[in-house]
Amino acid sequence: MFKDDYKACNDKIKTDEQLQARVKAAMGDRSFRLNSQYRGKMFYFTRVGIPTIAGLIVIALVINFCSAALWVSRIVKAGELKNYGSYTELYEDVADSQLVEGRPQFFGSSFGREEFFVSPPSLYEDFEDIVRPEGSPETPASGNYSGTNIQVEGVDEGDIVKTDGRYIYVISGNSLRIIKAEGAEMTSVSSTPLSFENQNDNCEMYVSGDRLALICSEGEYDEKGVWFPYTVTELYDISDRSAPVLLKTLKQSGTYVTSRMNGGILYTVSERYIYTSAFEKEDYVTYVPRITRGDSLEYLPSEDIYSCVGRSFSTQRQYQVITSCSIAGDGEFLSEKAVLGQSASVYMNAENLYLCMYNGLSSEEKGEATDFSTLVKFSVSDGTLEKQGAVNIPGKALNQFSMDEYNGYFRIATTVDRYTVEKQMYWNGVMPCFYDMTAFLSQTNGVYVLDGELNIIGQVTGLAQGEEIYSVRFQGDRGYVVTFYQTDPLFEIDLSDPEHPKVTDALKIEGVSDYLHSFGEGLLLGIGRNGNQSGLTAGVKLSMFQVNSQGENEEIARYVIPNSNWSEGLYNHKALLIDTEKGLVGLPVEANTRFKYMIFQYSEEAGFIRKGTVSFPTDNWDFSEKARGLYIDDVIYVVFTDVGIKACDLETCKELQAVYF
Amino acid sequence: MDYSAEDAFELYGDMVLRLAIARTGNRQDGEDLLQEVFVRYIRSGALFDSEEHRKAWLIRTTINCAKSLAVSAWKNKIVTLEDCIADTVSPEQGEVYYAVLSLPPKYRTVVHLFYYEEMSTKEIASVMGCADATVRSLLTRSRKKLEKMLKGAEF
Repeated sequence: MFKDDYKACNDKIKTDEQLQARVKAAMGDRSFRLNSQYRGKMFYFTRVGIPTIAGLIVIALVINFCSAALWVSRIVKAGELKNYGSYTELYEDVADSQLVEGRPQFFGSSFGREEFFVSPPSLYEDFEDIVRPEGSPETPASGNYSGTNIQVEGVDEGDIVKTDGRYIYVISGNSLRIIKAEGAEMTSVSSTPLSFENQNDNCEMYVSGDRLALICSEGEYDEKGVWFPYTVTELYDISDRSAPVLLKTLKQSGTYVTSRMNGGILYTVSERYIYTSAFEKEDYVTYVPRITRGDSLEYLPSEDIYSCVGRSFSTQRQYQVITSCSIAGDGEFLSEKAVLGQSASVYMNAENLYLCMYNGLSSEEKGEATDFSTLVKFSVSDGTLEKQGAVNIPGKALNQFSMDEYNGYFRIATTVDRYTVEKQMYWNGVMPCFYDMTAFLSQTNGVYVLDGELNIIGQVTGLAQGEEIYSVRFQGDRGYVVTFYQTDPLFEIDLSDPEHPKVTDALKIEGVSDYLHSFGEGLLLGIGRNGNQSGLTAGVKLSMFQVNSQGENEEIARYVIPNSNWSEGLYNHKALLIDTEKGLVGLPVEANTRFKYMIFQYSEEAGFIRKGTVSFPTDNWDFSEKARGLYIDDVIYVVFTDVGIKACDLETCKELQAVYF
Repeated sequence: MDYSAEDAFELYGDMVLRLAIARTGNRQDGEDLLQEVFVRYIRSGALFDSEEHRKAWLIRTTINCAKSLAVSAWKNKIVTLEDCIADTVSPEQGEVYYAVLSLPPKYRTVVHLFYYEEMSTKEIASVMGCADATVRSLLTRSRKKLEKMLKGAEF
C-alpha cells in the first residue's frame, strides 16, 4: 500500500542530536538571525558525515565528493557572455559540469588545470556596440486608484489581485474572478475556471486595457515519468468582462520566477533545471529549453542560449529562460533568451533587464574564498531582448531592490560571505581522494556602482562586519541599506559621485526593516520586525525615517502591531498598499494566530495611526491564504483571495459592503 | 496545556521536519525551515486553545515559511533531487518517497498531511486556507500522478 510505504519512508526522517541542539540553541538565542547563519557549509558536511560513522562509508564518500564539488565551485576562467554554436556544444558544456562535479579529484590532479584558478571575481569585457534605447518610462494610467506596489515607476509587476479602476481582478484558487466595483457596490461579473492547475500558489496576472495575461507554473510528466516544469502565459480578451476569452496559451520551460510589463510588452523569466537522471545528448528535450512557437513547442536556438564564462560549474545545471510577448498582440513570443545560471533576482526598467545569479564560492586563495554572483544585462527595447554583457560581483543580492539603474549607472548592494577552505583527504576504499572543506568565516556588505558597460567604477565595501543585508532601496542619488545582527543600522550612501560613493550616515535602531519605501520628500518607510538591544522580539513594525541628506537621519515614528508575528509584506512587496500622498499603508498581518488586513494612516503630526482592521469571520484557527488592499476613489477594497472582498470607506475604514466568493 | 517550547519541539520536531522536507524537497532546506518554525513559535508567544490548535499552527507556519523560503532568491538550489533523496532515505526505500517529492509543492503538502499525518481533507483545507473541494481535487490529481509513476500502487 502506498500509505504504508510512504509512512515507512517518513518514519526514517528524524531530528538527530545535532539538529536538536541547533534548533534549541536558536530558540534560546534571542539574537538569532533568520535564514543564513546556519546555512553554513560546515553543518552540511558534518551531517553527511554521520552515515559514515553508521557504516555507510562508501555512500557517504560519494556524497561528500559531490558536495565538496558543489560547494566550492571553481571559476572556470574569467570570461564573457558567450552563446552556443550548436546543441552539441551546449551538451558538452553541461555534461562537463556534471562529470566534474561527480568525479573524485584524485590526488588533487584536477586542481592542476590552469583554468581552475583565477583571481577571485573579476570583471571582464565583451561589449560590442552598446546601443541605449531611446525613450522614457511610460507614465502610469491616470485615474484615482492604486496599482500594485512596484519597484520602478512605469514598469508593472504581476500580482494575484489587480484593478483598472473599474473592475477588480482576483486569482482565487483555481478561478479568475472579475468584480465590478462602483463605490461600495460590488458585483461579481464573471468567474472563469483556469485551464491550468494553480499548483504552486505561483500565479500572477497583468491587466492592460481589454487584455489580461495570467502567468503560472505548470508542468507535465514526460514519457519517462520525469516531471518537466514549464511556465504558462495565457492571454485573455476581456473586452466582455462577463466572458473572458482565452486567445492564446504560451509555454516556456522552467518554473515561473518573475515577470514585468512595460509598454504593453510582457517579460517573463522562468528557471529550468537540468535533471541529471534524465540527460541524453540526442534527446534535446532533456537539456534544451523550449518555448511555444505557433501551435507547437520548439527548442530555443543554440545561439540564443548564453553561458557566462566565469560562472561556477554547479550553476550550469540551470537555465534562466527570458521571453517577451506583446499583451495586445497575437500572442507570439517576440524574443527569447536563456542563460545558464541559478537563482536569479531580476531588475528591470524601461531600457534594461538585469539578472543577478548567485554563483557560489570563488576560487580558493590562501585558504579563503568568497561567494560571488554573475550579473547579466539585456536591453529590452520594444520587446527585443539583446545581450549587453555580464560581470561578476562579489557576494549575493538579496532581491530585486538590491539593484537599481539611475542616470546610466547601475548600483547593486550585496552581502559577501567569506569561507575558509581546507583541503581534506579521504580514503574512498580504493585510493585517497581530496575535497575542499569549507567553513563560514565572516560576513560583510558592499555597494557597487557600474557604468553602462558594466565596469565597476565605484564601490563602498566593508559595511557592517558580521551582519547581512535585510533590505535595500535606492532613491536617486541616495542608497539606503539595512543590515542586521542585533540592532538595525540604516546606512545612507551618497551616490551623487558614482565613482566615489560614500556612507553619509549609519543610524542604529532596534529591530530590523525588511522593506524600505520612499515616502515622499525626506521620508523613508520601513516595514520589518520589532526588536530590542539584544535582538528581535515579536511584532511586525512600521517605522518612518527622516532622511535629510545631512547625515542626521532619525526614526521619527514607529508602530509595533500588537501580538503580531508575521506579514506577507515582510518578504513580498506586492502584498503592501502604500500611498504616499494619502499617507496610507496597508498590509496583511497574522496576529494572535489570526489573519487580518490592517490599514494605517501616517502623518507628520500624529505618526502612524491604525485606521482600521479588516478580517473575515473564520473558524477558530482558519487562516486565509492571501490578502491585498487597493483603493478606487474613496473606497478601499480588501481582497481575501479565497474568501471575498470587503469595501470600506477610505476615510473612516468603516465597512460598507462585503461579497463572498 | 502550557509547557515549554523545548517540550513542544520534542513533541512536534519530527512532525515539522517531515512536512518541511516533503514541502521543500530536500533535507537541508527542511532543517532550516524546522529551525525557523520553532524560532517563530517561541517568538510569537502564541496561546493555544488545544493541542489540535497548536499542531495546526505549527503546520500552517511550516507551509507559510516554506513559501518565503521559496522566494528567497539567492537560496542555494544546487543540491539535486538525487542528492536530497540520498540524503533523506536510502535508495532502495526511496521509490515511493521519490515519487512524492517529484510532485509540485502544493500536491506534496496535501499528500503528506493526508497520508502521513492522517488529517481529513477538511482539516487540511483549514490549515492550508483553501476550500475542502480544492484539497480533494489536489489529492485526486496527486493520486493519478503517483499511480502513473508507481505502477500498480494501491491507494
